[in-house]
Amino acid sequence: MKIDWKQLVSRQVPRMALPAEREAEILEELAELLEDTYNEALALGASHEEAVSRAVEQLPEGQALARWIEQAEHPLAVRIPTALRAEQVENRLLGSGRGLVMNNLLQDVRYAVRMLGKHPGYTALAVIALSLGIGTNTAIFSMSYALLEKAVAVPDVRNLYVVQEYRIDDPFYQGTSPKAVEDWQEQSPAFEEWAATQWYDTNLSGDGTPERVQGFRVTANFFDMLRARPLHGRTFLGGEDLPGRDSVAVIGYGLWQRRFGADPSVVGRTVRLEGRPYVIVGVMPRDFDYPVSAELWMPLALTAKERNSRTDRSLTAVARLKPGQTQRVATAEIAGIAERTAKAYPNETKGWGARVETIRENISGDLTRDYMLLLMGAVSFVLLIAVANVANLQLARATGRYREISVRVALGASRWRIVRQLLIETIMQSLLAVVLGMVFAYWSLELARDNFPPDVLKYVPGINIMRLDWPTFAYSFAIAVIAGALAGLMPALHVSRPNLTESLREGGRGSSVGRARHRTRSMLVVAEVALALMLLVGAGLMVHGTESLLSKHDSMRPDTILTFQVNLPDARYSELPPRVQFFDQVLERLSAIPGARSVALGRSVPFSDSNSSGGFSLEGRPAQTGEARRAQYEYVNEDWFRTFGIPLKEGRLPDLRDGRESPQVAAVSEKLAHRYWPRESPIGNRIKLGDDSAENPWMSIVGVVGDLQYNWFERDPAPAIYLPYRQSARQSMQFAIRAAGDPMALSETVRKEVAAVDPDMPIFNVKTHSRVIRQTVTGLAYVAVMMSVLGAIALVLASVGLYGVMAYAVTERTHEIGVRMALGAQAGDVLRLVLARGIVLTVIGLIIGLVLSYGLAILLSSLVFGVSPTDLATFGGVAGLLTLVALAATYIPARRATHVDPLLALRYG
Amino acid sequence: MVTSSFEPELKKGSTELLILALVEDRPRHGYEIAKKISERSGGALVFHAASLYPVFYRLERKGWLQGRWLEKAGQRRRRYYRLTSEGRRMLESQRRTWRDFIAAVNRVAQVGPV
Repeated sequence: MKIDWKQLVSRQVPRMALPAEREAEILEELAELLEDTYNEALALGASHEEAVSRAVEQLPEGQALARWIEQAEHPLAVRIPTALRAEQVENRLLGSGRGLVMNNLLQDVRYAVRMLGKHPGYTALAVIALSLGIGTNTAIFSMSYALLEKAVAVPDVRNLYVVQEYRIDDPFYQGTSPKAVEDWQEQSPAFEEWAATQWYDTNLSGDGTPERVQGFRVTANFFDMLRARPLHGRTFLGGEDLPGRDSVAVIGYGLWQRRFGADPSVVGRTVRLEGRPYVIVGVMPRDFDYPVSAELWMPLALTAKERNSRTDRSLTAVARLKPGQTQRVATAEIAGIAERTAKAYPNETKGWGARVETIRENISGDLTRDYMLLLMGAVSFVLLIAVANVANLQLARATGRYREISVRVALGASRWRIVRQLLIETIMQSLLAVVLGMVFAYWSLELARDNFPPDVLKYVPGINIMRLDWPTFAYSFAIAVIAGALAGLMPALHVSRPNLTESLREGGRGSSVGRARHRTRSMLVVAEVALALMLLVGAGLMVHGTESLLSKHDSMRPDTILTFQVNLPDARYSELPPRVQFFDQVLERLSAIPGARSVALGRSVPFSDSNSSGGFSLEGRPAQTGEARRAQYEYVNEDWFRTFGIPLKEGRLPDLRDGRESPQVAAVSEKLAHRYWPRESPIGNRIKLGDDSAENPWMSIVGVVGDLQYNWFERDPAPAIYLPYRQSARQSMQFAIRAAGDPMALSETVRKEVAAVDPDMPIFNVKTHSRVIRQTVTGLAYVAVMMSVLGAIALVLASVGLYGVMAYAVTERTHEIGVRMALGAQAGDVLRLVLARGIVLTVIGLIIGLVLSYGLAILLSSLVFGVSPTDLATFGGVAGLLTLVALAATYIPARRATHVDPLLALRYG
Repeated sequence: MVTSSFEPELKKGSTELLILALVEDRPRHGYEIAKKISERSGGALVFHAASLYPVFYRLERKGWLQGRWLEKAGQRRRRYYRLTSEGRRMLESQRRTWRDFIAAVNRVAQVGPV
């Protein structure tokens, strides 16, 4: 609507005693003021009516103003009464204002809200894109925070350290002797208090079915040192860790809920652990989860002989640093003690070192940290792609806003003010996206928790406390502001460039400003394609790697094998003969089950989480310095080889002939044989477990068998040594039954048969072998699935980005296309023209992405077992997929371009 | 300099000083001057733009400002004000006056150096 401002002013301001010409001039100038005010209000998003009223407010007291102007024009013609009122008007000049900066900001925010509301489609698109980025980031942050930072819910955890002895040639191999703990306690002034724990899973019986629970034996001061309070009852008293006084136990929240129905009166009840009676004295609260996976704590009652051992390294020492001390000092002290001990007891300490690490480092393990870092990287890619998308949307919209912005610049708005305005808009979108992102994150976390197998969940510290909390909110808020600023900055700088009049006239098309914007948009799309490719390649590599790990054992048909574990308690089975007798009887009964084709017995089935390995010695060939002789130990029956398809290469298999009275024998894997006897047969040579000084017997090698991979984290099968179980059976052993039909159908019969041999003996971890394999790589598979979901999100975002740019390019080139068609170009030519541009952008993105992906793949393969950096199938497949999606995203706008009506395009273009 | 002369100068003089200072480096139109005053004062000085116009006219009459209609391509004409050479001298003199005034107030009120 056109407003006659001059007329409006002359209605507001009464006639002045001035020459007509001068009066007209003044009225025109005041009209200019009103119009400027009106235009700016409009540019700030006000409605027409609001803008008019704001303009009219500029002339509050027309009468007084008129008199005052007259006075200014004729200083001598004094009229007292009106002059006074004029003075009042003038006094307003000096009235102090409110905080204008804050006012401006509020104004900008209001304006931004209005602009967002005006373009709901655009706003929704931007908010959804950002919420995907923010939501995934929030979920992964919350997960990392729970797994890495909060994992140990112990007060003052920062001063707690784990001190460990470890094998210098194999730092993963760690464990501490009681004497070492005593040395440290006496000689390291940096620490104020020490406790020790010992992994001690135990058979719980005495009320209901016997059950295997994850127990730890701990020193009596353990809970006090951690400053952990029980939920019910008490923790251990001083002296309860002495033999004979140790028949007390503290149970964890999970076990209390599961087995005792959360009954507080469980305190005082007697249960049997490893066949011995124990009184439950306390229940720990829900979030007390140390050592990780502990369900039950018993006193660590060492005998005097055990206490003096330097070679029984089964403890973990936990210590509290004195206030004011540092990890560095502590490390130096421990190293010094280790050096002195090494001199005093060279035999016992040879090959062992000692280290100090924070309880967190010790708990969350390298894999969790690596996986979380990987996922954090992946989600930041998703966020960057979302940001690029929003920046692109903003740039596309910028054309439509040139008028508005040039009006504001012409009215004297500074560049900073315009930039700030645009930034506030994208940041507001981003904050809106936080709300949606939170919903998204909440839902992802639920999904993540529900899809974790419960028996794996137990070993993931912190996963139960994973939730959206204040640190998570703060994090989302922070990344939202950063993302919003990033998304808004480039468009804002572009749009706020001076020299707008040119683009104002040209509508942004074909001008240098337009071309620069175009370049920017193309760059953003190239970046999106490259980022999406990297993410997809990463996901593809992980998926492929996981699959190849899972399928590694397909040939042995793990789905037809039932596995389970038994742990023979010390009380009756600490010597070999009763063990052998037990296993003999169980094997005989199980073999008689109809439907059991073969019954294997061993220490740990391939890919199970309880692997057993260690060093070994060759007779007459002492290990060279720095040479690490390590092998998988297996204590097996003959069926082990048949069940897992391990071929005999030479000699014979260890079998039932090899009993306690007969000579000690072993079979070795081909890998071990080739390494130490590359040109001759190893048969007849002697080998023993442990290093040269170990007290284990020498065993004659009687056979060579094929290689089998036992641990998923090894690239190739490790050397293996197979011992006949009748000469070597351990207390903790696993069975594997090859079934004719459904293996799980056998589980009840198996339970009964074991109970028939020993009614107090629980069997546990009853599952198919394929489930064992899948669960072992759960972490990896989990990360692979998450990466794939993130990759899919990235793909969608990137294709939306590409589509947006292409669609916009077509709109921009309508005129040009019209001209071409008028000059005889066919639909096919136009299609090619548009497609070509989309393809060029995609290909540039792909090339950059592939180069970067290769670097990423190398990094990934060093980080994640099973990933190969030269996985060409993945690279090719992902690039192909992305190209297809990109083509589709380009094709739709390209098709539209062929429908351009040349006449219309030329007339209006 | 007599201190009593400050009182009326403070009111009108400060407005004039503000306007003169704003057109010192380049000509500006009325609305722009109004906006700049609030912008540069960080919001400390807020007022009705219309009440500035009489001051423009007064300053123009005194010969310190010169108003001129300017037309830019595609826009309606606007009245721009520029500083005359006499205006420039007055600006300097007003600045001095203002500084002296502030200094005097500070001394009396023991505000300390600014």
